[in-house]
Amino acid sequence: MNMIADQLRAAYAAGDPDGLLAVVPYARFLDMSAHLEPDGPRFELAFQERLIGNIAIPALHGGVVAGFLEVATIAHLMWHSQTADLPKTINFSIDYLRSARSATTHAACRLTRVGRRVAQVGAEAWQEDRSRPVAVVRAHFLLPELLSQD
Amino acid sequence: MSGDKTDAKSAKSVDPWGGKSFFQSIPHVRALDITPVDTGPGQATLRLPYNAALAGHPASGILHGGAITTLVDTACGMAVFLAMRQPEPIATLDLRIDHIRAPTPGSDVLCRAHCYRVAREIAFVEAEVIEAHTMALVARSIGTFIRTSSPQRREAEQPMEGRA
Repeated sequence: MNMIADQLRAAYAAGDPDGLLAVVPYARFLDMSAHLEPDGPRFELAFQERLIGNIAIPALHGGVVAGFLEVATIAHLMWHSQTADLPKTINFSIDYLRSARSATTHAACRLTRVGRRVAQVGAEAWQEDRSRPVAVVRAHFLLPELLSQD
Repeated sequence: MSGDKTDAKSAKSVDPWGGKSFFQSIPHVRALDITPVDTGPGQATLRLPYNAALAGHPASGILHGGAITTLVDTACGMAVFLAMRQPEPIATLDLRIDHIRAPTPGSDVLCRAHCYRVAREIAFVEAEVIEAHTMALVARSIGTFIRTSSPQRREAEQPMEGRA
C-alpha cells in the first residue's frame, strides 16, 4: 500500500544505503551514490561539469555541496532510525572550509541526538584528504514514523 | 577584469543586470534554470522554476532543501556582487537556512537576497524564499561571504574617494 515504506524497508533489509538514494529524485539528479563502511553509510559525489559553480577554479557550486550533504544527512538518519518515510529538514547550517575542486567528494555523518520527534545530525565532506574537509554541516530534522519492528 | 574602465567607474554598484550573463555562464545555475527577476544595489531576486527532478520526496514532489539552498546561495552571492563597487571574487563562508513551510509542488520559488553590509573582509547577507504564485514564505536564510582578494590589492585598484 505504501510504496515508499516498502522501498525503504527493502533498502534497509538489503544492507544497502544506495537503495535509499534511489527513492529521492534530487539525489538521482546529483547522481550521488552510497555504500556501507564499518562505521556507517559513506556517500560519494563524482565531479561533473554541470555541478560547477565557479568556472575559474573550477569548483562545485556551494549549493551542490550543501545539497549533497543534506541528502547524506537525511539518508544517514533514515539508515539508523529505520524510518518509514523521509525526515523533513527543519534547518540546515553549512560552513564552507575550502573550495570543492574537480574531484570526487565524500561525506560521512553522525547522529548528534535523536529524540522522539526531532533529530540533530552533523556531517562533513572531503575530497582527497579527510583531514582537509571542504564543508561541515549541522542540521535538524523532523522525524517521520518508524517502521514497525515486526 | 574586463578592462572596461569606463563601466567600472561610472556605475555606483555593478550594472543592475551585470551579473546576468555572468550568472548564466555558471553550469549549475544553468542546470537548475535559475534566472534573475529583479536586481538593485545590494539586492537580487532570482527564480527557480519547479522541476520534478529536484524533488526531495518522490510521492509529494516537494522540492529538496538542497535545491532551495542552491537558489539561496546563488541569490546571496549575486546580492554581494551588487553591493560592491566593482566585481571581485567572493566565496560563501557559511549559510544557515530555516525551512518554514514546504513550497507547493509545481510552484516556482523566488529568493530575495539582501547584502546589508560589506566590511573590509566579509559581506553579510539575509534572504527569504517565497512561493511565486502565493508569495507564501518558504524559507529564511542568513549567510556570510568572504572577499577572497586581499584588501591591500583592492585598495590599490579602487579610486581614493568612497573608501570605507
